[in-house]
Amino acid sequence: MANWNKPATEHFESLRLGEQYDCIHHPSGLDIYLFPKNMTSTYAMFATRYGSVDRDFRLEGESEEATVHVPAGVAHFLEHKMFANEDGVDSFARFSAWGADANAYTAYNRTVYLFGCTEHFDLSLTELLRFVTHPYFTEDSVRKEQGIIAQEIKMYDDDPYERCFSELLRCLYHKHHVRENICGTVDSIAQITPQTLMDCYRVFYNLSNMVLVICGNVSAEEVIAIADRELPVQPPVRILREMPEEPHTVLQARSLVRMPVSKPIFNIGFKDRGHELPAGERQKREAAMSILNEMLFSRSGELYNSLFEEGKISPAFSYGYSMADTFSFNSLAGEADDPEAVLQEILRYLEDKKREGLDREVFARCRRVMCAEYIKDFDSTEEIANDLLGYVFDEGEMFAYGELLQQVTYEDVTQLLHEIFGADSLCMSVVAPSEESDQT
Amino acid sequence: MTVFETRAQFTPSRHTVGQGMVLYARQTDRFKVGLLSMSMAKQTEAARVPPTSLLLSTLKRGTEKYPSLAAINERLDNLYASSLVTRNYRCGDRQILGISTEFLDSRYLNDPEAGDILDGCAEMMSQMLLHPLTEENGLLCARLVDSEKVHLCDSIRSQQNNPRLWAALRFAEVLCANEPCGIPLHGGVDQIMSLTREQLRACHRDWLDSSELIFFYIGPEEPARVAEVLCRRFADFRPITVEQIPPTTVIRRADKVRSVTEEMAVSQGKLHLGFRTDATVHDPTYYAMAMANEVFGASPASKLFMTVREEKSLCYSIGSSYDLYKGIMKVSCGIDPDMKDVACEEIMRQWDRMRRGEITDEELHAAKQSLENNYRTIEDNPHAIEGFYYGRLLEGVDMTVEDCRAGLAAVTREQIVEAASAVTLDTVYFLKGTCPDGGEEADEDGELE
Repeated sequence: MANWNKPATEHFESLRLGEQYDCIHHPSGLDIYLFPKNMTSTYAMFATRYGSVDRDFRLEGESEEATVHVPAGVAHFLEHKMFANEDGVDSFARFSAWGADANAYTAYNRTVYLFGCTEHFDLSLTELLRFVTHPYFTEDSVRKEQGIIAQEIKMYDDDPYERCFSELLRCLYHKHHVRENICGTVDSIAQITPQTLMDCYRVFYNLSNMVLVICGNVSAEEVIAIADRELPVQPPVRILREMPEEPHTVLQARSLVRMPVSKPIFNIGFKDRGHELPAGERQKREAAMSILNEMLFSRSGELYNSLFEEGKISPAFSYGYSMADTFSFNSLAGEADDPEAVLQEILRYLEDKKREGLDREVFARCRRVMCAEYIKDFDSTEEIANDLLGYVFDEGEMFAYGELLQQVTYEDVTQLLHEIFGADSLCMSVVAPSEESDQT
Repeated sequence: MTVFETRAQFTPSRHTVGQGMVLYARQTDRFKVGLLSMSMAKQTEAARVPPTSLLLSTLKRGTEKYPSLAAINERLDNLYASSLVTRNYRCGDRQILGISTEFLDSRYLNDPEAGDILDGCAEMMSQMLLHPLTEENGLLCARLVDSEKVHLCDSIRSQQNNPRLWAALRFAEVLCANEPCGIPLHGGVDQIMSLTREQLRACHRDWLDSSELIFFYIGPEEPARVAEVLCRRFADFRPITVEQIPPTTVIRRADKVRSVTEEMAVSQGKLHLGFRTDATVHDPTYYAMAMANEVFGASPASKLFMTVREEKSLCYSIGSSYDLYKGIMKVSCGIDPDMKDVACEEIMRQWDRMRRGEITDEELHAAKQSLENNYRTIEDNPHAIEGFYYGRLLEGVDMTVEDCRAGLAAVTREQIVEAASAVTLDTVYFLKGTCPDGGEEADEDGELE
């Protein structure tokens, strides 16, 4: 294109992976991340830094009285309602007409609208940018949605694995809204009106608070031309989010819920303060935590194999470190006849490791494993777009993370071992069989 | 900015590895992670199901060279986080037993001492299938068998933990009660517990002596080299005969509607409807039926989503699926337990519209686009490539992804109506939630007893 004015762009490249991407600072105020990939499908995500934990907020420059307070579940409700349009045509129907597979989700700290397609990318991207920037809510459609989301809430309530995890967060946190379900409750969503949705939309759906991530076989020219056409230039805003003051201790060390399960399900959490670190440090902590978790809890490790060989836990056992800008925790999940005994064994093992020190060979192996796992994530446009969005929202950088993994030292993980697993940061949530259920 | 060329077709090529062993391979540098899998198939038979499940669980616990789970996992770690999963699933009336591995392309490892990862993964697969950990008498290690009995039974019992999955399982059993595919995947807890090691040995021999071993490889290596590696690593695989598997049974019409309601102490009800379609992948009406399912309930633009969910607010999740081997269409949704009849009526009303040809140009176009998108996306995923070709291979259907796309694109509204008119409702299954307000709340002190 001869007269093409390319907006300010940052280029990122990894020679080792043979991959690259650009961050285009679009004049509208939106940052567009474009990751070219030799695949048939293209994946696009339009996301706002607005999730279920954002409950009390205002724009900078507004008076304190203007602070908006909303009930639990509004971000998710808003996500559902964005697909409705003034002309009566649901955006899902438009995406379908072009063969695109559209969806959306709400997390603790983000709302994401997305599609995957193999053809007519230009039409689908146009629709994505258009419907997310054109809210349309009516009393009637809000009422209808309350019925649909009530069924969604019940579906999750009936799932013991979901329930066990949400109980863990409820007990780890005293006040932080991460302790409440992303969908809210049947009662909290009953309070939502079109005005509630508009109050949230106005603050959080400013382009300076959003990003567009695209991975696939598309050119920057094509994307920018569509963004030029569809996106209004918006003055950037600064959002003031009020977060309840959260103690470092846990609210409750144990939780027990009874449901019709065949065997107790457990989630163990260690509340962390990693999110308080500066952005660069946070990414390094995540890299080091992933290696430490692998060393302590993986299927090739001594703890898992001793618990498993002695029949104390079921084969499925998972672990992971979660970090967002306002909370962080490490968690383990599994099934066991006696979760308390398993927990005590895990704690004993952690104490032993703190005393004896970690094994250097295991460290080298686990670091190699995590580096390999990182490379494996670059095979799908969906996965790449999701990961890239995660790095952007966590103020990290995708390729830098691969380097950070390689730079993590034995001393780094040893220090974390002593920091993370404190007795007062621990909670275990258990979903146990209902007393009347048949255990034969 | 690089703009890439469109891709050529992804059909794997066929290579003979040895007696009873065939490799389907596609050489490509598109992926950083390669796929190597092996599968064997037999007709699903009630007596073979429980020992096969326990056998497979035990095989992955230890081998002659890697005698413990820790040793196996450490070896996989050293193969740069290669993954290995055992598979036990159904395709039509067939039971498939298999192992699949995924491993990094060594070009990305930056490690001259990385070794031959493909060979390492092939060795691990052959160790599990052909050289499991046995005791002096040649029987599988008793400790591992006993331990896996417990895990397998736990896993059978825990199917009830997830009401959505449980309802889908029970529904499939009820719908296909008199067909091989209706036999529960692992058999029953009592059957598993009473199995002897001699029975496991016989089951192992049965699979190895009379099955063809099908490998799939999708990755950067030359197929000839992959075949050479497999030939060497599976040299001990010597089937006596390759058993012919009878064709999948197809019930083309339901004579009457079966209605089954079961209860569970949860808040939501799960409604499932099963239809006999009179169209399988072997029939000329296959493409029209796949299209009918798409218009009816397979996407967020479908009739079911737009009416039952969006218009009537009866549910959050709703969808339909079509089993091209059994010729069965299934509808499922999660609803308020009191709304079963209302939801059922609405679903059937939408189906009546399909039969009457009330399909708009937009719906027809959207369904075609959606299926075109689904089939083109197969090229992006090695597992999807394998799944597409392996299923058709078992059924003796010679069809490429491109054939499939062309067939779907040519379907007319009239053909959809014709296919829909042959569909009959067979089973209505309802898992009724009996606790409208959900499970018990957490204890205040949260103490465990």
